[in-house]
Amino acid sequence: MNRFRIFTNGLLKENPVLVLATGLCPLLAVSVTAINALCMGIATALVLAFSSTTISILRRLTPEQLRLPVSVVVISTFTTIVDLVMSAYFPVLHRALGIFVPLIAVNCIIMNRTEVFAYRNKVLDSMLDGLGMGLGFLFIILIIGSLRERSGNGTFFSSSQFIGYPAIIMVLPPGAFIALGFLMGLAQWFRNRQVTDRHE
Amino acid sequence: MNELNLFSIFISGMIINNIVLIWFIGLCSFLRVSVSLEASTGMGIAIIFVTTISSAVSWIVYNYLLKPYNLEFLKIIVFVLFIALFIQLVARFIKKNIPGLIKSSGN
Amino acid sequence: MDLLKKTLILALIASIAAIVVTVIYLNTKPVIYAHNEAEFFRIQKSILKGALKFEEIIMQDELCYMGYDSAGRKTGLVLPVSSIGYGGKVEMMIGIDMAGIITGLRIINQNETPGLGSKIEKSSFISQFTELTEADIDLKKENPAGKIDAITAATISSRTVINGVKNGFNLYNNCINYTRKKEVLNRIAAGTYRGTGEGFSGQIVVEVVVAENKITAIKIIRHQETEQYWTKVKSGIPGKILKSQNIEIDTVTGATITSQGLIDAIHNAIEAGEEAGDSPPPMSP
Repeated sequence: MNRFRIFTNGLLKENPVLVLATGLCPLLAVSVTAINALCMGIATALVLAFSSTTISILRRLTPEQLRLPVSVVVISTFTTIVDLVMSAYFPVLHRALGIFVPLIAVNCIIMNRTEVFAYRNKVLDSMLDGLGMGLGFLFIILIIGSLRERSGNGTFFSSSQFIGYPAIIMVLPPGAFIALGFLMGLAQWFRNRQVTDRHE
Repeated sequence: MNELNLFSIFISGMIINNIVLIWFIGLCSFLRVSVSLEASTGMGIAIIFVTTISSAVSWIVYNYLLKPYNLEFLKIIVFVLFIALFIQLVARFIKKNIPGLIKSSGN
Repeated sequence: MDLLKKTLILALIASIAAIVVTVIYLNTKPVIYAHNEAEFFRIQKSILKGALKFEEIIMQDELCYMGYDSAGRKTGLVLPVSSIGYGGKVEMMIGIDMAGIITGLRIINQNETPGLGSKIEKSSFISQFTELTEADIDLKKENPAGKIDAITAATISSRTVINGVKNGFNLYNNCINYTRKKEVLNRIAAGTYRGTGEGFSGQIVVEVVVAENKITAIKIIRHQETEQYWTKVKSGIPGKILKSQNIEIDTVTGATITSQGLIDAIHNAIEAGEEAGDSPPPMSP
């Protein structure tokens, strides 16, 4: 697979959230404001990229049996690093994200990607895959975060953009599901259209 | 008084602090697995075991191993390692004793 | 040997991970600490307005903070307290000025029902407490003298905060007494002072040695108490006073009058020291 393809794979064709339906936990819980979503997305993307790279470097050393423990150690290490750096230099954001920063360690996307891709591919490929998937996730969580903040709170990145009454439900849990559902439906529609286009 | 406290922790864990509806964690497997009743039951039981054992062991490790040596910052790595271990143990246990309950590998 | 090799590989990877994390931790720890300190200071200032500097006061198993303004005068105390609420411990910080009036209240940590009990954090509830004294702290519906409105459908959580504030006042009194005692000791010049107290069977005479603003020794000169009560009191009280440097202590159970006699004698000696503190050296031993 050509390198560029690997990278863009994570963004659209196999977008972790819309297509693979993984990484939903932090997505739904953190995307209440655009800035939180942005930070969570960046944190996750970083951990994913670094973990994929490291695991790919280590892949010849790890026999089948050790794959799970090694993944766990590597991913948790990078999560801890991100957690520490965040609490030191971005304490307000760190408190806003709360327990979801440590939860990056068990994020479905990361666990999945390292198992499926990073263990079987070269270092550069894995790094690109990790970055691509991470950015794909960031992309979606940012969209949903902005959507929810805008419609549920009337603000965008905390600056007011009122055009009437905000729909409070959007910043509550159901709003997360609603926004996600719409996006997924849209993505599905696009894909179906591509298939029918190709048939014609 | 103490029993009342334990009971209220139990109930609140089930309802007020419901992990899926209130805390929003564990959604990946939740959405995947709730397609069939059988898989849901299997996953539910497995999670009960893993969570209970992991919580207990994590508490012990945190309070008697990490805290005394000021190593709290290692908690993510240590906890997740133990959890992964218990997932494997519980999955193997259930496979042996209640075959058919778990079709997919535990996660 | 295959198993050994695998174990070694895992151990190696885990060790490297641990080292990396430790290095990063050691580098970020001071930053995190400094930030937490600044945050704590900010909270303290917001609770006790006008205070610019805080001094930590550590008593036997309690902690409080004395606030000083820019001129070095005491403005009040910031007291960390907690009480058991519906969902566990509720931690709060209360500011009480030197006149016993609440200057501020902040809920630091709570686990109450989201949307109901968690409303105790809201300023609409907390602001009720400012400017109140200890006698006003009660729910209006439970005590006519109380001035606090409970949160609708969250009486237990509201009551938890009330209890916490009451604990705060207890802590306040303890702190004030403690600092007063400390200050008394600061004013006593070094020396040995004699004092008498009335025990069960007669007078108890003690000598208290003060050096460098601390009580360094307590000597019993004379007593007429019954042996069994005296041993209980002798083994408990002087040791406690020396350790806590606080002459306000409780009597020993089962030997109340003897205890009180000894305590009174020690108080008496300290008073002599206070008086002597303003005048030249005390009586020689």
